[in-house]
Amino acid sequence: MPHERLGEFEEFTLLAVRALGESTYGVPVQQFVEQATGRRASIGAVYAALDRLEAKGFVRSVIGAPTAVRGGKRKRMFSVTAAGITTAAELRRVREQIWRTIEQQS
Amino acid sequence: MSGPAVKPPLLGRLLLRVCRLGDRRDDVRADMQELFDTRLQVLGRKEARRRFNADARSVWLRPPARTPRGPWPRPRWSWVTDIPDDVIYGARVLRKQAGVVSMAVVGLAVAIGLTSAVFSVANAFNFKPLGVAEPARVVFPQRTIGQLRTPVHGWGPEHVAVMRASARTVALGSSLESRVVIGDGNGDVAAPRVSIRFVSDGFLDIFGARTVAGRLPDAADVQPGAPPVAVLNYEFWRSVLNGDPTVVGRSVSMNRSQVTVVGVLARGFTGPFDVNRTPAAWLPMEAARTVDSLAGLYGGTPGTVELVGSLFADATLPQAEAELLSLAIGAGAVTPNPEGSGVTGVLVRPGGNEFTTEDALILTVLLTIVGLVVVLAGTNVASLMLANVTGRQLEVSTRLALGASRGRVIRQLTTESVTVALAAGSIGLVFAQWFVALGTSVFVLSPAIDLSLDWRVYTFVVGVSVLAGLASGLTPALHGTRAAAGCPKRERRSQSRLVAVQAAASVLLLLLTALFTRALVEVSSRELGFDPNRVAVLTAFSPLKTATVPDTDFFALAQERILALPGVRGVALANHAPYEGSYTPVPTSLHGVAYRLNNIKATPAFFGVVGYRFLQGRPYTEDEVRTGAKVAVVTAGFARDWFPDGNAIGADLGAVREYLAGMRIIGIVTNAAPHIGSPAASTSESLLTPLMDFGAARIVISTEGEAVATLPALRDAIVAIDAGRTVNTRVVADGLDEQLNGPRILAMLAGIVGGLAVVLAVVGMFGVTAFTVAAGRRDIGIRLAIGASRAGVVVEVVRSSLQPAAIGLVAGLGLALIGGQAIASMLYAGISPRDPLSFAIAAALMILAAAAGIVIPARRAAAVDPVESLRAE
Repeated sequence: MPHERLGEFEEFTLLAVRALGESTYGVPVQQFVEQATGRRASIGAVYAALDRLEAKGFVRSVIGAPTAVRGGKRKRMFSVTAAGITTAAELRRVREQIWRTIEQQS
Repeated sequence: MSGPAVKPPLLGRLLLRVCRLGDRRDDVRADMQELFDTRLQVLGRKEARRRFNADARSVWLRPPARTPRGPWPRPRWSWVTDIPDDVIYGARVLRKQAGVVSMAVVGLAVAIGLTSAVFSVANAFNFKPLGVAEPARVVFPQRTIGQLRTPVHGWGPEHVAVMRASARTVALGSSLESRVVIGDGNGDVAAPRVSIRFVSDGFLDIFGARTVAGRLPDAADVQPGAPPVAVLNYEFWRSVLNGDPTVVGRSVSMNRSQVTVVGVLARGFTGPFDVNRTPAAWLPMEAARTVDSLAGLYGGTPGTVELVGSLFADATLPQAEAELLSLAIGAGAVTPNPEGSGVTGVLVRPGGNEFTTEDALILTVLLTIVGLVVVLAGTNVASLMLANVTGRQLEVSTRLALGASRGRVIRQLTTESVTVALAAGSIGLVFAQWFVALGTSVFVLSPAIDLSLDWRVYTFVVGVSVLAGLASGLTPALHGTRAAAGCPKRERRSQSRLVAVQAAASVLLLLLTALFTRALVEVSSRELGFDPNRVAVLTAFSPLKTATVPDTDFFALAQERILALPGVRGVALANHAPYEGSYTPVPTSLHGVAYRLNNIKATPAFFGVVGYRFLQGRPYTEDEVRTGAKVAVVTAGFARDWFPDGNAIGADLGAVREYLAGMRIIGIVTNAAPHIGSPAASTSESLLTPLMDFGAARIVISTEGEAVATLPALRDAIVAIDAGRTVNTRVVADGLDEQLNGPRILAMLAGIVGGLAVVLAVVGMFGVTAFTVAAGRRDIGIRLAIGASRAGVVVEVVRSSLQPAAIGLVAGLGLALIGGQAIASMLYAGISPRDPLSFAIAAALMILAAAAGIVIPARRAAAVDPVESLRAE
């Protein structure tokens, strides 16, 4: 299990990639994060987060095949790695545990 | 899509463009476009634009990481380690076209050789330190006149003796320059007139001279009456005497004297003087009396010697100057006076080769000229590389498809062209040595000058080669790796550009050839008014003040005795003989432009002796000279320039210079510049006035037959009058021939360059046209098959090749019109750099060269068999 930490925005981005299915690219991730958080996210911030996630080994990317849309330009497709899934799950577990404690106290 | 597409805002697009995205550029831009399109529909145009700008800013501030290339990260210096592989691969590819490649290499090698030869001469003259043990210590003490401290050349021998003995800040030596023809002692050897130096005792030791063979002159050699001895300069010994080891102890001839060689100096010792005054031999001062040379005539005022010194370690220039001033005053060489007139001061000038603005101009012009040759040869390499890249389209696209970056492929291709250029450069070094040898063998330079190639020349050659390689390889490489490479239209355009550049460079070089040749023809076909083979010049100076008969009596007697000799037609005295040395022009200007005017002071007989033809008026008479009448004779050009109304006769010369006020013009003679030692001199006019002071007079003698036959009798006649004088004789034809060397050399150099330009242009045109025809063979075949006429095909080939050449021709001539003024000061006989005849000749030659280059390919095009082409389909 990697010992890398995740920032809040990175976490949203990682979860967005996970939520968007097997492989996705910059645009849907940006739109997803914006919708889910209700905050504006620039594409540059999304790229930076994806780069960091990739460097930490939580996502991986490949250059996709050119398609007829986008003027034949290729996309960089991202997908979550096993480490990414584990980390996301771990984060969720920690949060839920904390919330459970809070609920029990109130 | 309906309606016109809305573009993202310009600011954002510009930000994306300047952002370093590398291989992420395409996907990032596509992502941003997609976002923009979506927002346009959802949020509206204004918001979409705002958000696009914000996104672009965020990407610009923090660009996404680029993909690491390949499975291994390339180390930073990998391009260095790639070079050997690239070179080997390139050599393998180029070997397949050995013929064309070697042609391009030889062309470029000749061009680089020429450039390096010019540079190595410039290097020897301007950049090498003086050839003495401690060049930084060399000083030249000079006397100065007035408060402006104008230097006076030379010191009296009697002053020098005192100063040398007493100086404590500087080790002083005195010397006297002369020029002689040195032979090997077994008769005449075809050697140029070289500089020699008579030097004071211990002079060579002061400057740290060592010998490779024999010894320096010793105490016995400097005794009065000792037989003359000489030490030879290394380069002279090696090049003229072929490094003959037995020369020490033998005698060589200097003009008609025999001198024993006692040693050969070590390589690199050339003495403390300027490079072009490097002596071929060093002799003790005593020998100036006995050796047949023009001692005292060259390099200074007759009767004086030059003072040179080496500063002692603890002394500074101001200290030396102060000490030498007090010594000079003590010796009576300088007379301090409160008004500051006369010879009042001493200036100690540091030694070293001065790089003047004039030198810089000449060097720039020469390097531009040879640079054009390199450009010309470089375009040949470029068109070779272009053809090469085109032929390797498959290979290039495969490499690109496999993931090689465009930069990597460009690097491979330019490595190949740089390799070709470096090969050419190394052969060019050999050519450079030949060119330098050729240059010295046509008497341009003294064989004593050390022109060996040193690290500066090597660096220059490598630099030029790499530059030529990059310049000629980059365009084809960029072209060949472009996405649309292989497009025949683009290819033709690139080739046309090369042809145009080549034509422009060629026509510029041809124009230079035409201009310099015209100048040579003009200057050598001038009317002299006399046969230079039938006029001799005799000088009888007394450099060491040993004359026994005073000047006035001596010259009267000499003229009388010479006139009585058989075969002598006339005798005159003049302060300068025609085609000897150089004149100091009268400083004047006409309409604000410096005007070159020589003041020749001569006896009345001079007009008859050198055959001046009077257009108007008369010569001055003996009576006028005796009574000191202020009369002058001028050349026709002078009369035309200063008195355009034709009223020169009787006019006063005060307008030319104040001190000439009151002097009247009484005659106008035909034009003939009396010396052509420089382009400016060759257009000079003359002012002839009576000779009053005989101190520096030359005796000019016209003879019935060849003047050379009378030289011994002339010498004997003078020695019989005064044996204490150093007699020198020469025929004017020799001086004229020597002075014609200037324009001749320029014309020859320009001729070589022009010839090279023609050859390179023909080869270049041939290469490009042949390639076009070979590549278009199929098209030609098809066109012939569907009914095109052969003549039509040939016309098309000729047109497509000549059109760019014509554009280059016009561009080249245009450039010449604009920049020609730069060489105006190098053209003899006042030929204009915009001379229409030269322009016409250059253009005609260029057209001929271009036509010659396309004849064979055009014939090939006409001979294409349509059936064969169709069968190949």
